[in-house]
Amino acid sequence: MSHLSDERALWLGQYILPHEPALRSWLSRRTVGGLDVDDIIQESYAKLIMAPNIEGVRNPKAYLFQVARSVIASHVRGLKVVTITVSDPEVLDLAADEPSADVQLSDREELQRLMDAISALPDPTRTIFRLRRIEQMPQRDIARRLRMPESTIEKHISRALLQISNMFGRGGTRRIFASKDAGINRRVENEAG
Amino acid sequence: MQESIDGLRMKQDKANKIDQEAAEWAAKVDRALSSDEQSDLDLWLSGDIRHIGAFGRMRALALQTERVAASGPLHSSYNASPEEETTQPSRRRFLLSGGAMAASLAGMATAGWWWMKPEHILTHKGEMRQIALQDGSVVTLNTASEMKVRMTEKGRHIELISGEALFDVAPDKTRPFIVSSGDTAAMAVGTSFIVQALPGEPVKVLVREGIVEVSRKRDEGKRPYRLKANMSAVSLPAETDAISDAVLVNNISPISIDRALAWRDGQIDFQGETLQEAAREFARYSDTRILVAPGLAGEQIAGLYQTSDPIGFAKAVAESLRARTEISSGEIHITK
Repeated sequence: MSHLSDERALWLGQYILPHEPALRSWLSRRTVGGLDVDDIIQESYAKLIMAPNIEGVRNPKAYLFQVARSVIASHVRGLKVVTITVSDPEVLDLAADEPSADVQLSDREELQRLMDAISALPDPTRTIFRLRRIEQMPQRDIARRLRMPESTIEKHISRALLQISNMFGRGGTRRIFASKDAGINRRVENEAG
Repeated sequence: MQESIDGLRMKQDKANKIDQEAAEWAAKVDRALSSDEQSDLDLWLSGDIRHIGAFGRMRALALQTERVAASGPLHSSYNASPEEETTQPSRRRFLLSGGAMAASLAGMATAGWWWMKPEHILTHKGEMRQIALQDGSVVTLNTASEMKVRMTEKGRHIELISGEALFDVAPDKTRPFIVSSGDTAAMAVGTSFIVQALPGEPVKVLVREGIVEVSRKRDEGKRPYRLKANMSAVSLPAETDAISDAVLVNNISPISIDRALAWRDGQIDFQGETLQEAAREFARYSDTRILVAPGLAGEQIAGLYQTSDPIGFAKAVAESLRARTEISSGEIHITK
């Protein structure tokens, strides 16, 4: 049994989630051997969860694209399991850049996107979600306050997460990212072709 | 045409279903899991790699929404100050388990220096970890194991300091893949093999595919032992050279190799091992010790068990042997 700390989930939320829209739009612009974009995204997150030493990555966006590329490659090669470690020199090479202004900007954009997504939730889901995540009220206390069964609260939390996730991913913001990505994309295309 | 659209829809439905289940689990984790739920979650996570990703992503989203709170009232965060940007939400820990989830945070090295030196990778008791090496090879490290990886232009060097690992080696004729443990070395070009270096036991090599050459430092000048698929080699320690100084090479069945790899699924496969041996095997994975009454030690055990559940094993065994179990802190006694 092993532990995955909140640190890793936080890291994902802070450094990877903001770049998911860019990755999605990049993936959707090409067909990769019949692979589904959502599958690639989910599998990429899995690799990022399983990778050791990930906190050392200094350009998470480049790293995310690299991981997604390896997911595609592993399917193309028909390999069953390919995990990623930061020991990959190519990734280190990519990761050598300082976090750019672009990363910080997209962090704010992400928060804004999240806020928009929360605001767009229908009530009572929105109220429940706000009480839980923003007021930090335990599910049990919310149930008591709103006189609802705990299981109902749990369902609303789960529904809220799914809806936020859907707004964030599928149908989420599409954005054209600037030159930095273009460089990575070229690399990937070269290697794929 | 119609078919491909349907195909696409099915795929999206599938991804959506995974996300939905992931959201349900994230909501449950949000209010703490019962131990039954924890096992169900483990089971779900181990079923499909996408489950792990979707769940982690959902957790990340949930935690990010706490940062929304930290960054000020709704709709005003665009001007959030830098201090607020870095505010971290509370750090409740959550547990993920199951083989594939091995995501130890040990060695939080920063990029910049550490790839210069051999990479040191270890697993704790009960942990399993899969590591992709830069050459495309994959190492699956079993419980309580330790290894060092050194990649050079001329060769790929792994030192298995202790424990057990499966090596799925990417073919590269120009760079042999060498696993050494003590004075025994197994060399492969492109293949799949297991090396065991368990405490107090001779180093053992099992070949699943391809060809592996086993040699030892003390045999310098001798030809290496050549192992093909479905062969094993046992390298006895130097102290026993007086009895036999050879590496013992045997043919084994593919089934026994699969059995030997049950740990990759978090399982142990017993087929006639004694209860004493089984208890020792469990001790590799868990600190909960199984103590067997002398009269039962020689009983033979068969079946597939979870490496993470020594108590379940002990109870199942006790039931079939009509014995009793007593559980105290860190120990399970199986008695008549």
